[in-house]
Amino acid sequence: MPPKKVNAEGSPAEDQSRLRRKRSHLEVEASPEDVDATAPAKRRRGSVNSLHQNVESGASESINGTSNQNGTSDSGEHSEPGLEIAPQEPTTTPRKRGRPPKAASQGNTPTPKAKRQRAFQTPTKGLVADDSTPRRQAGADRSARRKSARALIEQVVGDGDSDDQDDEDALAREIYESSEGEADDEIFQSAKSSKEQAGEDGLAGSATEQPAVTPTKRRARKKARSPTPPRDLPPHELYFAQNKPGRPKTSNNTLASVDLLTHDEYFKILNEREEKHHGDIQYLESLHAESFPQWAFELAEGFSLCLYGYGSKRHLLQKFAKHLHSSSSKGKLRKIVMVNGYASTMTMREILSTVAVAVDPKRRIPTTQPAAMVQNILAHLSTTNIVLTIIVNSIDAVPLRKLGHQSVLAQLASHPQVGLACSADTPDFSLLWDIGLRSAFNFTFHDCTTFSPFTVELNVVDDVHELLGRKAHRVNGREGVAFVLRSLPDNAKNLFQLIVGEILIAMEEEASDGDEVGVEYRMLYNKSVEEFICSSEMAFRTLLKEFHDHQIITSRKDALGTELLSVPFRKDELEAILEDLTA
Amino acid sequence: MTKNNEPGQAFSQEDHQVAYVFDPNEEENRQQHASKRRRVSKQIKAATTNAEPASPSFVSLFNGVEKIEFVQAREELFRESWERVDSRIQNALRESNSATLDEVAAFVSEAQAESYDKIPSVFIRTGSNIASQNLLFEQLSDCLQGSTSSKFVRLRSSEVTTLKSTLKRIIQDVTRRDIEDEEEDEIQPHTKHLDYDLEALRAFIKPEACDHVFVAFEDSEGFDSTLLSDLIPLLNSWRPRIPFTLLFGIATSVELLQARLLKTACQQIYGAQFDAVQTDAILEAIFKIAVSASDVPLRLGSPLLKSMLDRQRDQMAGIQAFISSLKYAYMCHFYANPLSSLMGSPLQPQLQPEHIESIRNTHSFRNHVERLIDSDDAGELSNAQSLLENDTSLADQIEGAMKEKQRWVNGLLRSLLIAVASGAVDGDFSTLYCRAMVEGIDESEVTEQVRRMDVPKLLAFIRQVLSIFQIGEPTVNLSPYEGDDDLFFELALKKLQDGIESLGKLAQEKSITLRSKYMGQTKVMRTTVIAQRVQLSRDSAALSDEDKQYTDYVDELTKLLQRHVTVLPVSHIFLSECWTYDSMSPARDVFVPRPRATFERSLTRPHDYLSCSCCKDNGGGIQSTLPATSILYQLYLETGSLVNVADLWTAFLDIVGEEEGDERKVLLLFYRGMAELRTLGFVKSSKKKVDHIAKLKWL
Repeated sequence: MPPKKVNAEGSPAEDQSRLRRKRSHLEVEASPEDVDATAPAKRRRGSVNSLHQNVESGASESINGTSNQNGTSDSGEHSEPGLEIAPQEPTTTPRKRGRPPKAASQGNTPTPKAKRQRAFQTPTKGLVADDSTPRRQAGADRSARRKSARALIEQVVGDGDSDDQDDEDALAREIYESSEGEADDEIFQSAKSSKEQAGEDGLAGSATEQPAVTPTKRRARKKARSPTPPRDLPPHELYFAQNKPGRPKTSNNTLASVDLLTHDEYFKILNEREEKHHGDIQYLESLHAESFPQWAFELAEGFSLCLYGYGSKRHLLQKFAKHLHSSSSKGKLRKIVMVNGYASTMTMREILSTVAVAVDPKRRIPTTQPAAMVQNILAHLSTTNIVLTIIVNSIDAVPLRKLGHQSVLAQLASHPQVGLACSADTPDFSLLWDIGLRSAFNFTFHDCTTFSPFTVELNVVDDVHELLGRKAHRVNGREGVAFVLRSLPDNAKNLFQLIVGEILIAMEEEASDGDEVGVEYRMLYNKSVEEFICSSEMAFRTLLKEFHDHQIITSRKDALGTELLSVPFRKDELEAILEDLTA
Repeated sequence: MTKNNEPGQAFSQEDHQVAYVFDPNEEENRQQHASKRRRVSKQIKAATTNAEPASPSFVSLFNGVEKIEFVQAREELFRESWERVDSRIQNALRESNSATLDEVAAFVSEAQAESYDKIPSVFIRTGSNIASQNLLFEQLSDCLQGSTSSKFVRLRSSEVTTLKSTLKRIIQDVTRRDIEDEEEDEIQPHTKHLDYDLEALRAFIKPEACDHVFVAFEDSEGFDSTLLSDLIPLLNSWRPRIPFTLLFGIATSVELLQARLLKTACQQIYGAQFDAVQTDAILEAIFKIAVSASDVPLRLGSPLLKSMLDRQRDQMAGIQAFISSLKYAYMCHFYANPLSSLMGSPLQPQLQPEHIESIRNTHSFRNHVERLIDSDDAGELSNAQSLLENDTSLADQIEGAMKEKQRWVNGLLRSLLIAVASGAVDGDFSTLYCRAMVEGIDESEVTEQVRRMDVPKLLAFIRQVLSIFQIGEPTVNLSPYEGDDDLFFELALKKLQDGIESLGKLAQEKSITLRSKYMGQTKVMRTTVIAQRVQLSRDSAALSDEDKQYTDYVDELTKLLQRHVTVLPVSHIFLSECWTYDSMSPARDVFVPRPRATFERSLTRPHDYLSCSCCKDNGGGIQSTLPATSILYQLYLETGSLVNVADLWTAFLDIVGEEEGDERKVLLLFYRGMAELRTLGFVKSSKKKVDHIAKLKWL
């Protein structure tokens, strides 16, 4: 983005590192609105501003002369006049800078007294104007410093929405302080005099002390800038509307207040609960079951079956297997092999050896490469008159998604004595097969939406926690750790305390940038030796292994190859654990 | 076994097993203490099995009252007809590649002698369709192994990635086949070779006096170029001991392959290029004999055929897919159409009343009766009445009506061939056939063309038409004419032919060129129609006697053609429902699924599937009774690219809270919904913000 370069060059380069941080900050913050900020702002400028000028008293003009910047950074409705009157404001500037990301932050900007009063005087009009020019203040954000100021104020006013705000605030403060008196507005307009800035800084500074103004305005702003796009957009427009570059506008709420489910509780409630649509689901399944003879016919004619649609089809396939079994009892020898694709321990060898057992329980085939095993099995199958049916639950489950697995299955399915029936759970299953595999499978697809819950296929609690990035609930968090440590010797406890302490320190220092923080293995060892937790690396390893076994620590290698130890808990949990340990 | 086998859970052990042999008897014993669900399923199973023993694979139609004889008849008919068609298709496939196969075999045998320091290689251009390559290489393997004592190894790029694995694979493939033959006593303990040492292969083939070891790279574009560059010199260096011959399947061009290889590797190749028959040509051949041939049991409707052909062309589905769709059409017809049993031999058991009733409901029956009534003939009228009222007379007419089929088909094919011969239509035969099926054949186009022909062309055309009637057309198994009407036509044609021939001779003696009044002065006919009309009127005045006679001949011919080149639409043929299949719906859904649409529908409108009393859509936003995933999905549709789970939870709780009562229960539903969304690939975890997930799909 070219504007950013200008930005960097224009700023005084006293502190390179800080500058870099600032830049990255800017890039993140500024880019989002680029696309949509400019056009509407220009279009609507005229009418809105004339309105405001009428409303406004001369007081605003006196301010505008000197503190054009401040005026613009005011909340939406009041920023217009300042912008409009200042003659040196080029209309193109909005493109260079975006609106800051947080809607809320806009409301808490430094506001001179005169303007503040106006805010209360003309609330209705202001609201209208605000609605019609949602992009207006995009042009108003002039500098990172101002943004920082705003962020700081918001911090004071909104009393810190969440923890993750902390590092941002630190950054904002840093930027704000560092650019005190600095001519950062030259970023765009080198022609602007530094005199203006001096005044501006003063104003901004004073504004921090008067945050009480904002709440009402803030609410109005929020309403106006709802992130909800207009209804009934065509799908492609919706995609772009929802994928605007830059920071998504989501709230900072977290699930901290919600007590997450544990496995025990999940199953307890599950067992107590009566499924609401149970009868309907049963009925739907029975409808599908009416096609069993048809499916059996298709299978017999050399097609493979693929059942897709929402809901678990495991039970349906099981019934189908029973149907096949009962209907072919006379004459033909039918063997049915069930494969659970969702089983995480799945290997192709295991499937193939089961198939081999089904074909001939007495014959042992060597477990070699799957391809060779398939050849072996099929060659043997051709010599018998067995009709083999392979039923695969969730053929598109993660463990089965590898191309190699699919081609082995296809090879099996293309044998005339083998029928394959499978279920596919995701909407994208057809991407699994290229044209070669597809013609080997020779699929017929059936919509089998069942709506039955994935009771077996999914490990609901773990899946959700993983989705939320909280893997540690495997050992039930804090209680689990306490439980594990209780059964371990004292120095294990001490070691864990050491690790937790170190990691908390590291978290404080690094102000977590998304990755898990870790402590170096070597460093930890040295410390533990210092604290007489262990005397040799051997003993140290033994202790760590115990933790590993209970999954209460994780280890990984960083880019340089140094081993980092970490704990799969979040900060608040770690603090709690540490408290428990020291108590 | 996964770890969540919590106590108190009714998971059976097999649920988490990777694979197991299914044995319901055993299962029944184990699940004696079955849950409610099991009992319901048993009842259903009982219901289905009651209907089942009738026939192993076909079900009884007419709501189950169809007699078992008819069910069996349909099944037999299906097997019979499909086997006939299938064997034809297989023949055509085999023949289609036979030219290529012969050439390859010839090259291989002579290359062996000609190149001693280079490795003989065959480059076969197969076209881009991998699915049809399989067949070609199968045939190659059979053909080459049949003609010489040789070994054939097929390699696919996905199966071998390194030099070592390739060598292993080659050696395994060659040796294994024999191990199976000779019951594993082939293992030679005295020579221990590494499994990628070609010496093992040499030792193996030495006693067999093997002429060739073919190594086929089926999809040569997929192989790593360095692998090929390494492998070729290596195999060549072994050639004095092992007679390697390479085969490359090429989708693009030999030049591209050459450009990818090292020069040193290329220099060791002694190769020739062969073009395999392209899919289009094979498709056309199969279409002719399996779809349009006169003796094909089942006629497919035009829309269905068109969609099958389009699928071939647009989606590159491969010839195998076409055959599958064809087979599926046969399956559907005989499985689901009770009238299909009428196609069988006339020695049928007495028709059931349901048959008669459904015949009376067919479209063609109504057309037939209406035509009879319109004809104003007393006999026809009474015939119509008896068809409507008397079951036995209807049954008596069925046989005759079935014969009508063959007449109609032959008429269609002849007309189509005549139209093609006249040049009135052009394009692929398959396309023409589809068009003729739906639109019939426009005889005016044919006559238009005929009128413009000069003498030699006209004579050639008449000869062609005569041969169509006398000999038939072997590519579509069209038999010579039968019936008096056609005989009359043939005689008239012959007379015309003689007349025109003598007239032509006469004209030649007089050295004039014959013109009919339909021909313009200039031979360049393709000017505007209006210009021609103007010219025509002036021309006719200047026509000589010979020209007038010629004009008469042409008129007569067009009159003849008009009478014979007309095809009724298939729905006008009485009982055509018995032998046509033109339903699009199952074939389309079965071969080209639309999972996204299905998911979209099931998640946004669960009522469509569940038809439950609670979730009827009343347009008032998201209902609290919907399944959890459905609610979450609809909320999800409104979110941006990043979703705050906490907010999602709040919204979910708002919607479902009252319905469920307990917040923990709602949380359970929420969990389940989230886990399902994740499995369906709608969301993934995100590290951008705490408790946020990323949206992955926009429908």
